[in-house]
Amino acid sequence: MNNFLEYLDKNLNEVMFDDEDDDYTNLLKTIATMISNTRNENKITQHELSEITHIQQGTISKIENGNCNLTLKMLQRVADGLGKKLIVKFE
Amino acid sequence: MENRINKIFVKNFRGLVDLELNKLNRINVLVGDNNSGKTSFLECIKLISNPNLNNAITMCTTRTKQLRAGSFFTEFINMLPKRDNSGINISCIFDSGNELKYRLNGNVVQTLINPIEMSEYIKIIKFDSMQNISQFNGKIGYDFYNKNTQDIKKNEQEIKLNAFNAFNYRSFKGKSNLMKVAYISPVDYAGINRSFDIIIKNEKYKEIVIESLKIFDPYIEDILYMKDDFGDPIECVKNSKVGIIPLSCYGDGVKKLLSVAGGIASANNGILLIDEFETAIHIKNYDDVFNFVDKACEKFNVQLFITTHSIEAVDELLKIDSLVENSDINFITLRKDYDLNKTVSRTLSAREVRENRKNFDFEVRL
Repeated sequence: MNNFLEYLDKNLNEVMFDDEDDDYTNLLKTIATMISNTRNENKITQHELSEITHIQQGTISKIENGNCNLTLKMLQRVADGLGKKLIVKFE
Repeated sequence: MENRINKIFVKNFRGLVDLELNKLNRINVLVGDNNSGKTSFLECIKLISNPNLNNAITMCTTRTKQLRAGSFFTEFINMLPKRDNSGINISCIFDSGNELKYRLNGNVVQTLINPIEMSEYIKIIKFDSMQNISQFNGKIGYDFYNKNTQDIKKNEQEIKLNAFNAFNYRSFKGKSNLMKVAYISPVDYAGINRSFDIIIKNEKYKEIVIESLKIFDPYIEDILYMKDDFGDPIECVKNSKVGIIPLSCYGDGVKKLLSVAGGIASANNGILLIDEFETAIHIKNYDDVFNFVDKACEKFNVQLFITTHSIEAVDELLKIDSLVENSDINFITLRKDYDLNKTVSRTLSAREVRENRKNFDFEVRL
């Protein structure tokens, strides 16, 4: 245990966290809301969306809570599964 | 942003009534019987950290996983005290001297909603007549007193919430985060939110977390994402004996530690809430795991609130001399007093608990 404590004392000092990337977190949450609302408007359950997209239902739940590091491919599959076209815009 | 709570007064929230805690520390261990209000207390902190309606609605369903629970609306109503209409009332003083008063109150009435408005709430059903539904009419708001400038910022939002529009309020709007708070539930660690991402992003922290994971399996060498056949990322662990295997192959201890490590990182300069700290962790590992949590929280300026049922976990914490000597840790026992109709508490320093356990076999949990 003492070795581990020494290790922690020495190495934790070298860790620096960047300030939380607010923009990225907000983007994930905006996308989460969009997906969630679209799914509900079309009366599709997460389970059904999971079957269409072959993304695990747990992952869809995480996506809809802004808790998943979405890949573009995944986002495309979700859009397809919801019968929507994915459009990305710079503003 | 605030980063440490000094005192907190929960006038009303779920089963908590008139709970006053005046001696909060860097590490606060909440003990108490089942249903004494430990989890509710942690939820209070999460609730007031972001004092808007979106957060309140998101939070109200944290307890309903795996239950055939009601709608957001039902669960929202369940958060409010049932005995009267006083609503939720929580106030706290931060280490900075700033103060926050949070309140959420209102009542449920039967309301007639016209069909056009109903169709706005649920687009799939066509309503052709007025609908008589239950609706919560109320207010959510907070006062924030800034000690330096001596002015009070007031914020109030009107609420007209029913089962049909509650879902819409879950969308994330606006930033009113007063504190960074991360909450780790006793059963949720398998989900680990974005813990894996947060840890992997920081090379040095990842190295330390891997070293800590060796507490559970000395053959763990690395954590990484691998792609599955769909090209989707899968959390994996590299083990020197068996190669790269999905994190899902591991037991809950490893997942829990990852979840906690990620929680510490995301709560840096904020507050970390760990509900039932000891679940999924073998007693022989309590000291190592807790040393990691303590050192990391100290380094990253994280105030820690943990709940536990385990006297063994309490005793392991008491063995950490540096914590006891530095008076960095308090033990708070909660109990519901049905005669007085309030939640009573007792706060003791680690030294007091240690002495009393040694000399009197003191049962701190009750």
